[in-house]
Amino acid sequence: MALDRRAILKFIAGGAVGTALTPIPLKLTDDISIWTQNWPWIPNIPKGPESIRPSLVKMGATEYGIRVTSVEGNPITASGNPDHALSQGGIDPLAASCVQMLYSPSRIDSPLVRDNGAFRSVSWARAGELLGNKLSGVKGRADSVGCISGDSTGSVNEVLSAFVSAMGSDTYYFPPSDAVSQSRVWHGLMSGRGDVGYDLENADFILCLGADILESWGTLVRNQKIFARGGKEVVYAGPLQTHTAAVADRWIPVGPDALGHLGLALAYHLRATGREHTAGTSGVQELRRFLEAEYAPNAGSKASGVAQNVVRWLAEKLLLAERPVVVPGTVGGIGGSALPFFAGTALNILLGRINRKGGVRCIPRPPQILDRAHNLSDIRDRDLGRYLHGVAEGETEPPQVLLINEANPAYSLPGDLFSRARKRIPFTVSFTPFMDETAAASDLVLPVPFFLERLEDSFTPFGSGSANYSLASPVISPLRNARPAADFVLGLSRQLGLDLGTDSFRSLLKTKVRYLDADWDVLTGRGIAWTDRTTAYQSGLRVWSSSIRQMLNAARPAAERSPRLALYTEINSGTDRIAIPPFGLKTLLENELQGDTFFLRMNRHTARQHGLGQGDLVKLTTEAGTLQAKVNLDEGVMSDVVAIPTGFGRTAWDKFSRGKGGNGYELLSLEPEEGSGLSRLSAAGLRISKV
Amino acid sequence: MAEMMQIHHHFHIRWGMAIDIDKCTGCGACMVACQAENNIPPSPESFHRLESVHWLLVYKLSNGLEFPNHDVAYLPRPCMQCGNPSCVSVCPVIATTKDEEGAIVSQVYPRCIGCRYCMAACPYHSRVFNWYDPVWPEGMEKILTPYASVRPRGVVEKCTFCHHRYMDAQQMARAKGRDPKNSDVVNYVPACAEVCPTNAIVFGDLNNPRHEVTRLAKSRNAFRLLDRLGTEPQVYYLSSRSWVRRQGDNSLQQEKQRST
Repeated sequence: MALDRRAILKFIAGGAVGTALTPIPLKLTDDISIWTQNWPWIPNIPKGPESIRPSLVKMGATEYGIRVTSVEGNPITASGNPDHALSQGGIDPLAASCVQMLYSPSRIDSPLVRDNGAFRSVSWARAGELLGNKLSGVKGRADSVGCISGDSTGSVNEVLSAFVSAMGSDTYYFPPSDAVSQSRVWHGLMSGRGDVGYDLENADFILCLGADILESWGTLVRNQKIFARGGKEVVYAGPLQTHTAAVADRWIPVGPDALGHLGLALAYHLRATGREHTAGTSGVQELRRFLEAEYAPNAGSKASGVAQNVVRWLAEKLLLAERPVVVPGTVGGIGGSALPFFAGTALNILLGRINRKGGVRCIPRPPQILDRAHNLSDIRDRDLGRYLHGVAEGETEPPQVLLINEANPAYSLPGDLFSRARKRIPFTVSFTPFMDETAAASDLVLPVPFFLERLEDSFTPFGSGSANYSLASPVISPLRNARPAADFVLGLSRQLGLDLGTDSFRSLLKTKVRYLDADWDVLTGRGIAWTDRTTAYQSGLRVWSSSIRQMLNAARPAAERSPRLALYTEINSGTDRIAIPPFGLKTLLENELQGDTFFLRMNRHTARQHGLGQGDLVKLTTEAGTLQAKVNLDEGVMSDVVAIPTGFGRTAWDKFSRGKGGNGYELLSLEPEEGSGLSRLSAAGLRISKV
Repeated sequence: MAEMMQIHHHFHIRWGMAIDIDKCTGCGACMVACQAENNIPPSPESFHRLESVHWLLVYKLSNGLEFPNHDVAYLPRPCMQCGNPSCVSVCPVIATTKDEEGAIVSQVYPRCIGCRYCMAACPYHSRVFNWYDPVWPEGMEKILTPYASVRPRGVVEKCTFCHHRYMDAQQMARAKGRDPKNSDVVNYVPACAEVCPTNAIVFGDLNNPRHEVTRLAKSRNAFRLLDRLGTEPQVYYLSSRSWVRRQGDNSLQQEKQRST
């Protein structure tokens, strides 16, 4: 066959058609693309059957049921549990990070004992022997042992407090919080019975007196679900536009130290209308006289910093609403002075909202199985800050051994209070899944399973509108050489010859479930909480205490003009117990954290007064400490207020949180509050200087 | 406008969102759920606008007024899954398309050559580029989900409205002998909408009048981001606050703002 012109054209045409039609070039391109992305260091995703199990989130914020999805037994994600009354299918960003925290680099692998300033890994047997020897030498002494528990709802407290009692001591505390301040005021100042809960579902007007109910206060996810259903008016009073204020019907700017004054100014208006409910309440006449003298419109407006017409408008709102409720709290949920809690609770009493639909619901005392245990309700009445202040100042005998169960006082107590008290305590033991600031300062660190790895329960988290009990089985076996604190302490008590009244934590929980007439399988299998809407009967409530005057005098701002500090909490940046999770770190934007420097918030007026602008690096100084931050100009902060987020400034933990920002608690100092049994948190002498 | 609307006609199902800004507290649960579901790698570095990998961001909006007249709102921003996506037409390797039932803009990672034309074209900054290989701390790779492959360095990625959940729902429908092209049958929700504790994110088929999202999208308070660009986003926002609606169009200061 001759190679003529026609043949060449045919060949070219055939080649072009063939090239266009053959899949080879496309396939090769596709393969190149795939194989240049298929490197051995890129992890493969798991394949296998999925399973979903209920659990109970316990990360230092509120507690509720969640669902954990696993692939081949490995948990991969967490979501809300629609069947749990406090979740209703919702989940907060911290709880949504819980599976990731299982594998946090800060997890502790085995017991650690401090040896010449550094930690040395030891066996559980050696750790038990070491602690047993320490305790056997002090058994029976009133100052033998103390305990701080960061878990304020679990039955682990029964075991730990029974152990403390059996050792001869009654030193048992929860860290400061709104729950502690509310409880102390309710029982100590107002002679209330049971625990305070809020029936927010049925309220039609909610006044948040500082409480950031949609971000950091009480039953957070339940609150959000209630808000989502609508049908109620929400007013937020506080020093900055919190997440609650962002969606509330109205934000009323009130200084962080003036929330109590606003509450009392409102009480004056109720009194003035003569429409307050006083039946069965004592101290009404004294309160009336006091309000008349101190909170007449001019004085009330001056004390609270809220215009008279706004106070009057708010009082009218409360009076005209069918089912109003006042929710007192602090912006960051950090507790402190009794004043706002007293004022808020007094308003609820005067409005006749105690044990009424949509008002305050008084929840009966939590059940107690172990005779020697302390009741959760009683523990909430005690102020840890005051106790440690006494220890640090040498006024209170320190415990010989301090047990710290999943609490982080080294991080979250004001200033250097814990480290000063710590110097007078010979031996501290930290039960924790993570190397937090307190563990890093302890003599013995005992790793406990993360809540997903252990049997866990919770009785009525603070803020619930009714009593509820949740119980969860582990969703995965412990990934570290960890033991639950309750089981370890039960073993220790046997070693010391102490009978706590139960053989194991499981059997204690079984007894509690029977006592409540609940069903173990429903609680653990479906994650449905036991609930009870019984209320504690109230009689002889008091709305007056002579100590109110003392509290007010102490709370009056100093004559010097310095900005006020407002610590606020955003749950995506962790809690005192959990540092910023890796997932949480990615939710922080460039005006919240830049490199390792975090931002404070102040408005332009405040910034101008200090000669500051957006992004300026500043040093904050108080009598208690200093920290550095950049300025984020935010008109959602009232004038002369500097707002600082909690959760930053970690000195332990892992690379996702350590060294990022400053710890706002270090700016605070603590002063015992006369009359209330609580402590005031103060940032006296706050100074801002440009770096 | 009528011509633009025609581009939806070939999709029987058109998944969309209605995000109620007046309900969003800015808690960030949606961002975390998105990261967990879609295997977005952790980073020990704090946020960096250009380098951080994120499919969903929550922006904080301000009305710009000084205290005490200030107001604040939060705006979650997933991929808008535009009806007329500017990213699709610029992709030289057809790694991103809008041709599948459901009207979700796809992103085929193994096909992506990392040219980032799509990022330049997207007016919403919804797309992110992997400047680094993904790294999980030791053991943390065990929380990888089977739902999204891990993307290596050099690849662009974005929100897919949790497309894997859509596929699962379709598979389930087929297994039950039901119509996988009926959005009442395959009524799935993405991870962000599922976890939202205030139900601010409502998800559904914009072509299905029985779905709440369709009703919400027609609300007088509904608006879309940069609507005037003609990208036809399938994400609607709702707010009763006019200043929030105005910011949705992001007009330049010298431009005359239209009333919303």
